[in-house]
Amino acid sequence: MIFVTIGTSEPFDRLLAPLAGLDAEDLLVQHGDSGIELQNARMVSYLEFDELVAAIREARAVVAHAGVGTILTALAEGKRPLVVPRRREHGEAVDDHQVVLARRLAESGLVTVVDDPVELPEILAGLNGGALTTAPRPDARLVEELRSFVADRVDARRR
Amino acid sequence: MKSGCVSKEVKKSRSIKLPVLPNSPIQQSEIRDSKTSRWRAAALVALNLLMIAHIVQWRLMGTTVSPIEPSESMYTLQRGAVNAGFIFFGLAILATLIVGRFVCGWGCHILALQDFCAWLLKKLGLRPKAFRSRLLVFVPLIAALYMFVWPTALRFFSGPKDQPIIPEFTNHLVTTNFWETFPSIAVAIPFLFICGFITVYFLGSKGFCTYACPYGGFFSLADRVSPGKIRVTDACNQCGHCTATCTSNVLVHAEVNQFGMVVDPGCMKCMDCISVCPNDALYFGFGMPTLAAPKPKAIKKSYSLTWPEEIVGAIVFLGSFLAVRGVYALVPFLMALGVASVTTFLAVKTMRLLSTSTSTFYNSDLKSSGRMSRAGWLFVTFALLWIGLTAHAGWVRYHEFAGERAYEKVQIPDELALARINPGRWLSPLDREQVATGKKHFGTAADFGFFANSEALPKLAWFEYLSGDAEKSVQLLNTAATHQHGQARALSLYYRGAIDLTALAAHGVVYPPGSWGRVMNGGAWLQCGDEKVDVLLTCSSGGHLLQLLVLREVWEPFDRVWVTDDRSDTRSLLADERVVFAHWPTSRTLRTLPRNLALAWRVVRRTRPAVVLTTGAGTAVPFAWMARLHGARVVHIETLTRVDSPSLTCRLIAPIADRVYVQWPDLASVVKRSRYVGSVISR
Repeated sequence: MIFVTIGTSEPFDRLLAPLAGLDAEDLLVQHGDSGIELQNARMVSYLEFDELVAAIREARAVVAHAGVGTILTALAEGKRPLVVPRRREHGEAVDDHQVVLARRLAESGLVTVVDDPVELPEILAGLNGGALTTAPRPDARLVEELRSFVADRVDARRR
Repeated sequence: MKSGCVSKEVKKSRSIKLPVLPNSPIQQSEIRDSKTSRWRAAALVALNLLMIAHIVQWRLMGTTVSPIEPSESMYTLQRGAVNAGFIFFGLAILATLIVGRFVCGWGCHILALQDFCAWLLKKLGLRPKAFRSRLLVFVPLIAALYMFVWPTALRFFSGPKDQPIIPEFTNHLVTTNFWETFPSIAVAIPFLFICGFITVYFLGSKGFCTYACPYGGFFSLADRVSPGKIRVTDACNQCGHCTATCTSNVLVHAEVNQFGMVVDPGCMKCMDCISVCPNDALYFGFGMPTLAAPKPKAIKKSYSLTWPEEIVGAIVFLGSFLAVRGVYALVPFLMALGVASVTTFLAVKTMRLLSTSTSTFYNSDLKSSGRMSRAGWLFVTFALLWIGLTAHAGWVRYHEFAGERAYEKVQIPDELALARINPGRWLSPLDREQVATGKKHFGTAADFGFFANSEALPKLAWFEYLSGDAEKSVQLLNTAATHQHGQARALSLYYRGAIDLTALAAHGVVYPPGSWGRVMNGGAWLQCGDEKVDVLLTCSSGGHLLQLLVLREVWEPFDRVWVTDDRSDTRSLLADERVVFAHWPTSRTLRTLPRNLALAWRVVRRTRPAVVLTTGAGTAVPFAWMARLHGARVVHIETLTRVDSPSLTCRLIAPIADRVYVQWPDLASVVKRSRYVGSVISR
């Protein structure tokens, strides 16, 4: 199964349209406010969080916009998502932060960036397994600094 | 000739000289002051000071020994919670078995109040007269059995088979919530006033002990087998000073004459009789217990009531007790017993006042030669007011009870009821009938009651909800919440968007469904009252929440509360956390800001976080600011999304933040005072 999600913000037809060319595979598409109708897919406008997690877990591949929530949810399930960043020039977001974020995360090997969604059918056909070898964890330094900061303040008050 | 209009000469000549008998064996000299009463007063004052110290220590340090209060034993017997009160009560009964009923006279704060009241009355020249009833003296024992034996018996006969009679014991010697089982101050003050003062004024100096105190029921039983007793030597000449001094209404001189000791289990070993005996004939000593003494028959006790009056009195007592117990979910068991005993006295006394030609109360004639005096009318007015209020309470209580019954009979499963905004169509005809009945009764109780019942209102709210009025339902829950303090209670079964619970979070912390066990399936709980938390975590839903969740190791060791949006991901991801839902939406709009600021004010003042952790977006801003204003330290973790420029949230929170962490190295140089030490997803 291939799971496609564009989150709950603005429509993202540019990502969805090329999927019409995908064939012979179970396709679940969460399309939000996009008005597009795909004949080869199961279309849902919105998924409850639990359903979203279940869909990601089931999926052979996850295609998503480069929203940090979606990416983190996929990573938490051990899936490396194929992300298509939303672009301001197409009216898909208020700025290009997804482009920058996606590029950075791709450098760490956490996501695969697909700049042009037209390539999606081809990439998906050639993809075997989007699983990560190890689930990403927060940086130990960050955790340690934060924890000692909280502990110090809490202790100071208890004393 | 009218009295008072007599000339001095006539007055003088009318004085009659009586012959004084020399060396009379019964010399009516002045009764000397008891020396032990001072020691006892000191002990009781010290007791009260220790109690205050206990509370102060708890307020200052947060944890303390659980209340040293016999009523706590109920929780030991019912839930196996071994607490200080149980140990105290157990030791006190053991001690009474050996040395007699000392604890009552020297270690009880309610008795301290009663003695204080009797002392005040004495200063006013009033000596409380003991009200003597044959039947009502059994009230303490019945109350004791009801409190401490009945629940266990009930479990034995009709409890589930797999439930043990004696529950598994758990350690509750130390508590952080000292006041948990006590009534609020607003109830405690009338409670102490009625049980410590009113009972003394009407029923005598040990009025509460004699007719209400359930612990006394056990202590007086234990006293019967104890060898420690007030005993007498041959020096007794039956002068009666002892009986005149006794504030526990014991016929000391008659009992020591008959049995050589005081057998009345009402004796609280205050030792006043020993101290005042002019011949030093009385002493405390060990010997035969009461049970081994021959049956008392020679001592004729006088009673305040005739047998028909006893019967009427017992009925009045029962009625009054049932009327006030638990009314408005406020009146506790012991207070109801105190009120009932006073009602009984007032009812019987008024009955008698109206039917006889002469009646007195303290130093006043209420009625003489068939004419009611002003004091008499005052007494009747007070009595009727008291009885009228009791009757009103009974009427309200009846409607509360009937509403409760209807509430229990409603059978619609919560899941079904909560599945739709209008659950009306799921109701069976029987349910529909119960909802109407319940609404009627709870409505009457609420409309005519003097106080809001914080336990009945949520149930009325449930009825309103079931009959389709979700808005009124929330209003009622709000009213109920304002009347709950310091206690965690089930406010409602509403959730899953059926009702907007965010309004209620202002009163405390709304626990999301399932977080307090599976019993409340789909239900939300509300914790009211102050509770300090270590960390307040606040963020918007979606990616912001996920980033804060990834940092679980940071916040998991601490007491915490979350403030976030009420969305499907926050509900699911924070199912096991304490959550306050903020008003939504918060991004690119200021519409919800005033309401969120008000909510932040209440949440922060209630939870007093030491640290605020936030990953931002709009929701976090008012909460971070409000917490900072209340002395919390703020840590902002800028979202992973921001690679080269800070978010608006970051710019809004940074000025008050102690630390700002960014998740990309290059951003650290852009945001002033920010740090980069890795991100939430480094590999």
